[in-house]
Amino acid sequence: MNEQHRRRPLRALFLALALCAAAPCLAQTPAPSQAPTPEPTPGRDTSTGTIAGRVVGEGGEPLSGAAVYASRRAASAPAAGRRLTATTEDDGSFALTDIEPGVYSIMAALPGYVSEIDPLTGRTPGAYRPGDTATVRLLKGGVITGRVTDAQGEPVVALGVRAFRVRDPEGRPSTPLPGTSMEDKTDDRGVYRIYGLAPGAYVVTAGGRPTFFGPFPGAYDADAPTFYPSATRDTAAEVTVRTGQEANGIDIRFRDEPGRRVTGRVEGPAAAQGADGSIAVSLVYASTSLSGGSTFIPLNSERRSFSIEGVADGEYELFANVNSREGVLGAAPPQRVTVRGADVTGLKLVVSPLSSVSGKLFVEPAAEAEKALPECKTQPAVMPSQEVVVSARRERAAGERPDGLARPFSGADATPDRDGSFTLRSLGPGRYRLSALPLEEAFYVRAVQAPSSAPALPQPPATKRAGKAAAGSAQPATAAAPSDDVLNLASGQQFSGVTIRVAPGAASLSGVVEGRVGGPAPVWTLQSRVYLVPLERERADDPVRYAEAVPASDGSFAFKNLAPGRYRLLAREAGAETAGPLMRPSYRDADARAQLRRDAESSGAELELKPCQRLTDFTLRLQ
Amino acid sequence: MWKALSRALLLALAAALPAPAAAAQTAAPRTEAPATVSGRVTDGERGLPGLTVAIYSNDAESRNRPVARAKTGAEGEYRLTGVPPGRYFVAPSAPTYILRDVSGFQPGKQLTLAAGETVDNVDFRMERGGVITGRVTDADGQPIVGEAIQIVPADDGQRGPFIGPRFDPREMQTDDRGVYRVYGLAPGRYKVSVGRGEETGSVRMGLARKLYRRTYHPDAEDAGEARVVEVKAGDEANDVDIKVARTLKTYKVGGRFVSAETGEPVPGVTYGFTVVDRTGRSRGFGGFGGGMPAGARGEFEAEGLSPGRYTVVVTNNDGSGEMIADPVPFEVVDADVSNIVVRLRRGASLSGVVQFEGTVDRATAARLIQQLRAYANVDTRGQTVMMPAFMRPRPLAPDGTFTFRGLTPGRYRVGVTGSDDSRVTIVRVELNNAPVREGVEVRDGAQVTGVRVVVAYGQAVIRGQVNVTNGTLPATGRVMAMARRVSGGEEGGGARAAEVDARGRFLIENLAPGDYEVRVSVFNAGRPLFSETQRVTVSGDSEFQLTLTLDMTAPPGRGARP
Repeated sequence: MNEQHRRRPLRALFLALALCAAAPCLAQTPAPSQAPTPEPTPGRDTSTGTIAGRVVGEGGEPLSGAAVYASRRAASAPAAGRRLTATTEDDGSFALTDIEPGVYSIMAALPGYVSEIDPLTGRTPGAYRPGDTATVRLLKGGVITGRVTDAQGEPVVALGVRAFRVRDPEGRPSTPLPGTSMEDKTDDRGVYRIYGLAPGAYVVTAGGRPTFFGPFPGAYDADAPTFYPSATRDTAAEVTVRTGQEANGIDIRFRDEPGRRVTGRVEGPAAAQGADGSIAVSLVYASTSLSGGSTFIPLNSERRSFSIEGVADGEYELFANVNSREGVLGAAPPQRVTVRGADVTGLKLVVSPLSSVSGKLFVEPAAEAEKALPECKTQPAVMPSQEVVVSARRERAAGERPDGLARPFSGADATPDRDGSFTLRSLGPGRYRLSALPLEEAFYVRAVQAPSSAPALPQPPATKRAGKAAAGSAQPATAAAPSDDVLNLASGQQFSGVTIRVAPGAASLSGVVEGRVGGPAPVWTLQSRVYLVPLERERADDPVRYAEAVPASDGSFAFKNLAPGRYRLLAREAGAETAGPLMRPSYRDADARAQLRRDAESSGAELELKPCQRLTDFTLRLQ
Repeated sequence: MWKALSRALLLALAAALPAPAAAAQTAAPRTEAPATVSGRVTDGERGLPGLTVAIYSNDAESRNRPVARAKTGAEGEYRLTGVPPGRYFVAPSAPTYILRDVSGFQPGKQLTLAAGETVDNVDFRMERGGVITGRVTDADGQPIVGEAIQIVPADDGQRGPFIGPRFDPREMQTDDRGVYRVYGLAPGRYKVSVGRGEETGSVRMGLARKLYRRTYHPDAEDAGEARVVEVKAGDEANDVDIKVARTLKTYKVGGRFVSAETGEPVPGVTYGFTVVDRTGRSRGFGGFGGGMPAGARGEFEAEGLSPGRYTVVVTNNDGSGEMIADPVPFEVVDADVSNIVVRLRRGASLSGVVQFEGTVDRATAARLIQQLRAYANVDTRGQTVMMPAFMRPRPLAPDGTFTFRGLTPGRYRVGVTGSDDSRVTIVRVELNNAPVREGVEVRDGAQVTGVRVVVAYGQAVIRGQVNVTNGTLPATGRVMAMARRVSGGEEGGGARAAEVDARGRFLIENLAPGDYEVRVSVFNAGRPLFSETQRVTVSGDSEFQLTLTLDMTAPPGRGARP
């Protein structure tokens, strides 16, 4: 148990990751990259702690009998010893005890309820460490109900009806989450009732391949699904589901149309016969995460052909993954498939092995000068390396549509082991940006370095480099170099040697953005951003020194895990990518950072953050 | 979880039944003339109009795919057209009805169709089912959501509510209003309940959730006080509400795994619990929850055990773990149980090799070695609870060897299984060159080596026709043809089975050369009925034809064992 450091959970870890991601914070003292490799500082990594809290409803009322479970996030090995589960008491309380250091998700489940979704990230909130207190909010799920009849108006009995969320309440493409894809079967009157739905816009389908594995085939299994009201995907009507409300009369006239077949072969080095595992081949409606059918091929059989039945007309992407108990071994690039009134045959999917990135995280000791500061004396100076989330996110390839949908194997998270080593697994080929986020607020990321063996990276404009060299003359040139947080992964590559340094003494900043004097009140949306831009010239293009936050509707903002140093603060009302699970930081390339620096020079407010400083109530006025 | 459960159930069923033969290797070209199937659906007398009948593929690659369907006409007649040649089964798709006289696994009729042929008189007898509906609430009158309904016959000897198995749990659950509606029920008298008994003990698997004390309609905890619900054909019994007064408390159980030798903690074993009786014997797989990993210091803790007697079991799913546990029975009464010390010691091992009989070319042998899986199944009946929980078949090493570790003492049946394209015949199992008949005896901690599984591979075919006398094949149920190899002195697995279709035809493929005894078994209600047995010698990749006589008036369970 570790009661003395009771910290508040970091809400919206993923947002923070995306934002602070490619660049949390500073490097006041350049990393001693030519010095011998520092030994990882032992943290309090042997102590265990409790995550206690309550499960409440929308109005804060306690929910008893809810299942609560914690799962170690992005760990290289699952938390062993027991299931981290609890059931809430009558007052909604729960306690998960003896939890090893690490980053945990806390989920709660109660039939008919759905998890609260963070509107910024589109995900369930919460990343917790032992010692944290969690309040988990469950909302009464919505209901879609109606009746399915055939062309004669007779009920269609025992037909699978599925509701798939296509957009979240913010109008963004929906990613698969609990409560966003649910199904029921029609009863003897043709009536279905799907409950426990997360709010958002849904399409409802009747028939098609059943997802439930049962011994009895249905007479309609090879039919194409009919979309509500009696449509294909292209002409489907959307049903809006609100928290705790019922959308009734969602009646479907079953079209009774034969489904098409999509067939082909899986080839490639990752599809070799023999291992225990299987190849999953799946069709997904283009530009949504809605499944259009799937099939499996056991790896130990000779068969490498696949056939997906009951496919409706439409635009799809076809995926193939090689899965084993060890994880995903390989994947094929998604292939566009158009089904229009006929079977699609002879497709070929080439599965290649996936890649990984490994490295080591160093938790640096506090500098003596910092330790002496009164602000720093109240802050923890050590932390377990298991409580940092290391992430890789694929940069969007040229020409790739920004549809906001997760491409499989385009990102990975990992929490380091006790000794700081980490591996990001199951990554497809491409250009990736690395980032790290300590859950301990007192720490910031000093540097992210991919080894020099990495393929050549695009350099910042020559003028910038010249300036940097001049400014950094007192330091070894390498020490002043910006973090090297981008790497290119080839298929099957096992990239190693990444170094991440986190250090204590982090500052934080919160405040509010106010409108122009005499101007209209600004409107803050999910596209709005507040940026921190580094002022020191030698750090001007260092991605780990940039940070961004999405202001709340009242213009308030907060930054954590910041490197001490001098910054300019800048706000933009609109223009950035909509926040969401795939949001990438706006400063991800040198051009964007240069633009931010120019904007900040003309309209930003200057400020300095001292080590361990908690700067609050900062007011930024739009220029 | 339901998915996993039903899959496990299916696997168990599949294992219990003879394996169907491999699919026809030659997929019929699409240009062949399609076949037609027709028949009538009646309630025994009158035709039933407006019901759907479908024909489903029975080939390995597209099993269960509906190929054609039709609705019955005014007299219950139907006609399925445009069916390519191949293996199929035909079944009505009318879930509000029940098939009469069903006890088989798959309610339908097997058919092997040749190009252009027409098969008539594929008839079905059905009966209109009934409905039970109601609402389930807790002590506060709040709906109980997502709770499974149990419907059991009220009288001894009465048939169950569903004729033929019905696995989809969503049809048996309350919705967000606590409302349930179960249809397609066989007419009869039933008791309807939710929740679990207090007396048996159970380990909750998966997600923790509130458990309710078993309560019968309308509010009885005692089955004797349940109000009986009468279901009539085509009728609806409504307001079959259940008021649940009590939840069932569950408890936490924890402890640690230590070495029996040194007393030191043993990390990393996976474990579970199984329900035991007063003498510490396992009640079988019931109430088993497993597969949880113990911690780095050997510690374990699990929640969700209802009052009852249990023991801790070390699970060894793939036969590679080495440790076994001494049984530690404990009882959950009304509190958490902690500090259970489970002593672990090294289990026995069993190793051997798979060898081919006769000549098999090198490439085929290599392919088969890669595809085959070795198994060692302990005979659990009457055994202690120390058995390894559900050991999965293991892949073979490239040289055909296999090893199982972490075995508890017992008699193990050793063999190999294959998929559709790697089916072999087990000729015999040997231990140190001597044939084994009733399994390999493994003593406590022993290291048994020298097991040899001799298998044969071949591509001969037996094509058969069953001539039924004094009756007809049952409308449903399962009719299997079995070829048992009698040359070689085999142990288990030496038999190969195939479905017999509605016209009495069957095809047994991938047979190794040798002498076989062939007979047909009818699995329906009660003991199976057997045909006469015939002996046939096969070789090479040729086809052998035979005709068997099945007397429907023969006493069941008799007939020479093939």
